[in-house]
Amino acid sequence: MSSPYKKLSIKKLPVPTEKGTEESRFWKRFKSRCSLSEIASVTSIKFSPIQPFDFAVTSSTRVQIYSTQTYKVKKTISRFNDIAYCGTIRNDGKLLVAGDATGLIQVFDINSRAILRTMQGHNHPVHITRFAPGNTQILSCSDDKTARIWDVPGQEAISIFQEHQDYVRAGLISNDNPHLVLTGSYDQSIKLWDLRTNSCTMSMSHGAPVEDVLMFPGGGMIISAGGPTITVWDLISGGRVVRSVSNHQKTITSMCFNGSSTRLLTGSLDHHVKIYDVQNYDVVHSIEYSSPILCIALSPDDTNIVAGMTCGTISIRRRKFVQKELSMSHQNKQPRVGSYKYFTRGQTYSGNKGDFVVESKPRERLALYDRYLKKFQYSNALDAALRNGTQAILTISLLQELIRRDALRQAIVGRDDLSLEPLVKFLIRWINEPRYTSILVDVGNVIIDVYSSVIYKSPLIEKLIVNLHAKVKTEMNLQKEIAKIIGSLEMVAKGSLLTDTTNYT
Amino acid sequence: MMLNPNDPQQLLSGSLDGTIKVWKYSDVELLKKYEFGIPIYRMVILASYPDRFFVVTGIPCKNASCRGKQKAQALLYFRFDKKDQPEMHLLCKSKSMCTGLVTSPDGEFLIISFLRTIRIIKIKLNQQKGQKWPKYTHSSNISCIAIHPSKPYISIGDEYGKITHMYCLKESQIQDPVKSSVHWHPHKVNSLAFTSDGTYLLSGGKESVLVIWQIETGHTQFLPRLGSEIRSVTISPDQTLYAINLLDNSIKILSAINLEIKQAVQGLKHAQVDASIYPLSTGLVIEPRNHLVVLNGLPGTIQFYNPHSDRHVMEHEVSQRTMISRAFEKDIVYPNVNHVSFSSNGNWMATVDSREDGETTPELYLKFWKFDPNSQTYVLNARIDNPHSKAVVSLNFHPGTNDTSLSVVTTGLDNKFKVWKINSESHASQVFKDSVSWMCKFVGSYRQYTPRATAFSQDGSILSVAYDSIITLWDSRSNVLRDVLTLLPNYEFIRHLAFTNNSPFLVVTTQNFLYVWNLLTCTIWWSYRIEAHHLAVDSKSTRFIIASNSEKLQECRLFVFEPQTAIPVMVHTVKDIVKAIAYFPRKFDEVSSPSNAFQSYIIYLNQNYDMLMIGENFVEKVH
Repeated sequence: MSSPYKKLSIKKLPVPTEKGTEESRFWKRFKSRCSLSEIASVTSIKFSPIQPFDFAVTSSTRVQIYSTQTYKVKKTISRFNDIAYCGTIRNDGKLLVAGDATGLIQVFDINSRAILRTMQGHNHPVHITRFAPGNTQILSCSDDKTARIWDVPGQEAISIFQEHQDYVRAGLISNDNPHLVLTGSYDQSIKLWDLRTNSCTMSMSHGAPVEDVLMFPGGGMIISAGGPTITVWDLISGGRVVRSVSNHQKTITSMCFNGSSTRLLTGSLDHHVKIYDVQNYDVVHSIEYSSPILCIALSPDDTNIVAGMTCGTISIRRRKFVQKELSMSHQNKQPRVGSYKYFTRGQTYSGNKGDFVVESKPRERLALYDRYLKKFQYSNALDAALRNGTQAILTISLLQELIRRDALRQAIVGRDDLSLEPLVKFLIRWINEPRYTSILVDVGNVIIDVYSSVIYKSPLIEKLIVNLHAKVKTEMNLQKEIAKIIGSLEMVAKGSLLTDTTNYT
Repeated sequence: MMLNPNDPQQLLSGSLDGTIKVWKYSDVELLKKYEFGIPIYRMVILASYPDRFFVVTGIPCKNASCRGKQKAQALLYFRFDKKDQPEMHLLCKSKSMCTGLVTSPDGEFLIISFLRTIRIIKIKLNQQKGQKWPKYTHSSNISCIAIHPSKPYISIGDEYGKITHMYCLKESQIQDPVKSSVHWHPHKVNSLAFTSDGTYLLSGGKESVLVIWQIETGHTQFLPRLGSEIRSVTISPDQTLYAINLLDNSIKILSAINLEIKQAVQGLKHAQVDASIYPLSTGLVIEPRNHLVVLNGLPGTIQFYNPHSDRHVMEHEVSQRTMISRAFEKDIVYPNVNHVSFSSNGNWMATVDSREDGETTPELYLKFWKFDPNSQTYVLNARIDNPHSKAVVSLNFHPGTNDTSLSVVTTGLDNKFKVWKINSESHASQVFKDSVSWMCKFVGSYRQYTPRATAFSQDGSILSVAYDSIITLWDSRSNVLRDVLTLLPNYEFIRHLAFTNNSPFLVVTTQNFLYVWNLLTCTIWWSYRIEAHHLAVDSKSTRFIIASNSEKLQECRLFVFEPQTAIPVMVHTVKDIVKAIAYFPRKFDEVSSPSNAFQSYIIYLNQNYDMLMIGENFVEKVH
C-alpha cells in the first residue's frame, strides 16, 4: 500500500528551564490539598508507620489523629493537664506516647484512648518521647537536662543520661542498634549514648542549639539541625563533619527523610521547607508556606507533606499520582466480581514472559481535524481545531500546517460572523504569547486581508477586531518599554565594565 | 527512450545523438547500430515491419525566421534495406512539441499527438501518396495519449487533468468522432495505460495518485500518497503487475490484485528537484556509522546512499510534510534541509531546516536526532525554533567527544555563532528516567562581521570561525578567543575552511585564492591562485582536494594537495561540473591491502546529480 496518511504533528514547545528538572517537577506535584487549623501552634506531627499512614498532630493540650484519606480527625486524645508534646505512634500503630509540660509521660491505646501507662520522673516539660524499636522501651528528653529510657511494662526509668548542660530538645533511638541513643541539646552538643554501658560514647558540638537530629538507616551517619544550618556527621569515623549547609534564613525547627531516605526535608521559621538530595546536599526544591514552620513530616509512601505552623495551621500537600504509578497500584487489586472492571479485567493482560504475542494492529483512529485534513476540507479542520477545550498548541500546529499547505486563506475565507468569531477570539487570547506570535500575526494578516471590507457590517466581529487592536497596541507599548529598560541596563553594564578596565590599566 | 520489439531478447534505444542501437539485454551486447544523423525524440517500430522505424525528430532549423525557441518536430518514416541504407519519408510535421506516439495493437494505426493536434496515420495507406489523413484538434494542451486495445477509440490526457475518449478509428466516424470525457485529475495527466483486455485504464499525474478507471462503469479506484509525481505507468502483458515511474527517481512495481508495492527501485532522489528553489545545501556528508553518503533528498528530507553497492539505503524525513498537490497556480513551498552534521560516532545527528515562502513568517529549526539501534533510524530528540534570527550558515559537531559531552556549533547571518551542549540528567532514584536535552551554552561574535564558515580541529581543541576575510581561532573548551588570522593581501570573502588531518595546517579558500596556514607559527605557509569551488579533506590521510569548475569548458579540474607543499600530488580533469565533493572511506576489506595509492575514494556529484567515484585509475559511475 502507498504510504499511510500522516497525522498532524503537534508541536512540542520546549519546557522553559525555570520549570526545572524532573526532580522539581516531582516535588511540584505535591499540590496544596487542604489546611486544617488547630487552636494553638502545632508542636509535632508524626506519621503512623503502618498503612493507611494516619498522622498524630500535637497542639496545645491534645493529640489528634488525622486520616490521610479524608483529612478528618479520627481520634482526639485530650487527657493532658498541661501542653502536650510529641505524640508518637508506635511501630504497630496501636499505642501512642506523649509527654507534657508538667513532665508526665503517658502511653495511650489509640483505639480506646485509655491511658495505659503513666511515667513520672521528669520535673520539667518533656519535649521528646519515642518508642524504642523493640516496642517495650521509651526514650524521653526533657527540659530538666536529662534524657531517660523507660521500661513500659514496669513504668520505671532504666537509664538516665545527665551530661547535657541545657534543655534536651532532640533525641532518637537507632533503629538498627537499639542500644544507641542520640540526643541533641540547647547546650549546642549532640551526644551518643550506649545503653549497655549507660554512658556517653561520643559528643559533638553543633555550634548552635540543636533543634532536631536524624539518623540514616544503618546508623553510620547522622544529621543535626540547629540555628539555620544542618550538619552531617560521620559516626563511624568518630564524629567527623561530612557536610554543613546553611540554606535557611532562620532556625531550622524540624527535619524528616522521605521513604527511601534519599531526600531530606527541613522546615524552618523562615516559612520555607527545603528538600535536599542527600548525595550532595544540594537543595532540589523549596516550598514556601504562610507562617513559620515548627514541624514537618512526609508520609512513608511519599504522598503527603504535612507541615505544622506557629499560627496553628496544618498544611497538607498531597502528590498527584502519575498515571503509571496509579496503574501499578491498581494492578494488585482484584476487582469485585460482577463489577464493570471485573468483566474488562483481561484487557491489559500482556502475556507471560515466554509467550509468543501475536500483535494486533488496531485501526488507527484519526482525530476530527485529521479526518478533515485528509479530505482537504481545510475550513472544517480549522473549525474542529477551534472547538472549546482544544489546547492552544494543537490549534497553532494546525494553523502552521495550513500555512505549509498554502491553504490558510482557503480555510479562512467564506465565513460568516459566527464562524469567524472563535478564530478571532483565539487570536485575541494568544497573540501576545511570544511562542505563537509569529504564526498568529500571519493569520491575523490574512483575516484582515479577506474581511477588511465587510468587518463593519457585523457588530460582533467589529468589536472583536477593536479588542484585538487594543491588545496588539498594549503589547507594542510593553515591548517598547522593555527595549528601553534593556538599553539602560546595557548602558549600566557597559559603564561598569569601562570603569573596571580603567582601574586595571 | 527505449522500446521492446517483437523479439523478446532485444532492446532498442534511440538517443538524441541520432542513433538507434539494438541491444541484447540478457548478456549486455550491442547487436546493431543505425545511424540517422538527426536527434531522435520518440520512436516506434511495428512487429510486422521489423526494420522500419517511425521516428520523431527535431528538424534542424535553417530558416532564419524560426528562432529555435519553438522547435519544429516531424514524424519521419525510415526503412532500412539490406545494406543499412536509410530510406526516408516525411509523414507529417508540426511546429510544436510532440507529446505522444502510439500504435494500435493490431498495427493498423499510428497516432501522433502534438501540442494541440492529433494525427492518425493508417499504416497500410502510407505507401500511397497523397492520402488525406484525419487531423483533429483538441481544446487544450495534450499531455499523453493511449489507444484502446480492442475498441476503436483513443484516450487523450490533457494538462487540465481531463481524459477524453475519442471514437475516431472507424471509417464511419472519421469525419465526426464521438467524444466522451472523464475528469478527476486536478493537474496534468502524465501517463495513460490500458490493460490489455481493455477493461481498465490507469492514469497518473502530478497529484501522485494512481487512478484506476473501470471503463464500462466509470468506477474509479485510487492509490494515493505514492510519494512523488507519477511520470509514466505501464502494465505487464499478463496484467498482474503495474509499474509506475515517479519523479523522485524511483520505479515502483505494484501487484494488480491488491495494489501493494512489490518492489521499489530507488535512485538518488535529488536529481529531479528544482535546484534553484531547493539547492543541494548539505553537500555530501559521510555518515560515520556505516559510511553512507548523506545528502538532500526530496525537499524536507535527507537520503542515505551507499555508493559501494549503489543503493539507496534510507530516506529520513527531517520535517514532516504531506505530499499534496498545489491548489492554485503557485507551487507550494516545502521546507528545505540546509545542513546536516553527525557526531563522531554517529549516535547523534543535527540538522537545520528552513522554510521561507516570502509571505508568512519564515520557519527555521535546529533539530537533534539520536540514533535508535532498535529501529535503525534517527529519532527526534530536541527541536530548537529559530536558533538564529537569520539563516544558518554552518553547522558542525565537535569531534573527539563522547556522548555525554557533545557540543554543536552553529553560525548564522545574524553575525553570531552559538555553542549548543548536551545536557543529560541522570537520577539515582527509580522515580525519574534519564533525560537528555540540548541547551545553548555560549553565544559569540566578532566585531559584527558575518561568519562564513566554521571548522573544528581534528582533536576538537580549536574552533575556527571565518568572518568575511578574517579567521578567528577559539579555544573550544573555554570559548575564549585565542588568535585572529587576517588575510592581508586582498579582501575576498572566505568560502571554505578546513583543518587538515594529522597536521597543523588550516586550509582556506576564497574566490580566487587558496591559502594554507601553519597554525604553529600562525603564518601563511603557502598560497595558490586558483578558483576553488569545492574543498574536501581526507579523514584518513593528510591530503585535501580542491575542485575548480570551468563553466566555459564544461569540465572540472581536481587538485589533490599535501598541506606541506604547494605542488599538487595529482591533477585530474573530469568532463563534468562538480556540484559537491567528498572523500569516501574504503570498505574495511580494502583497507587491509597495503600500499594503496589513495587512502580514500573521492566521490562527487556532477551537474546532472549523478554520483561518481574516483578510485586509483578509473572513474566509476555509481549512479
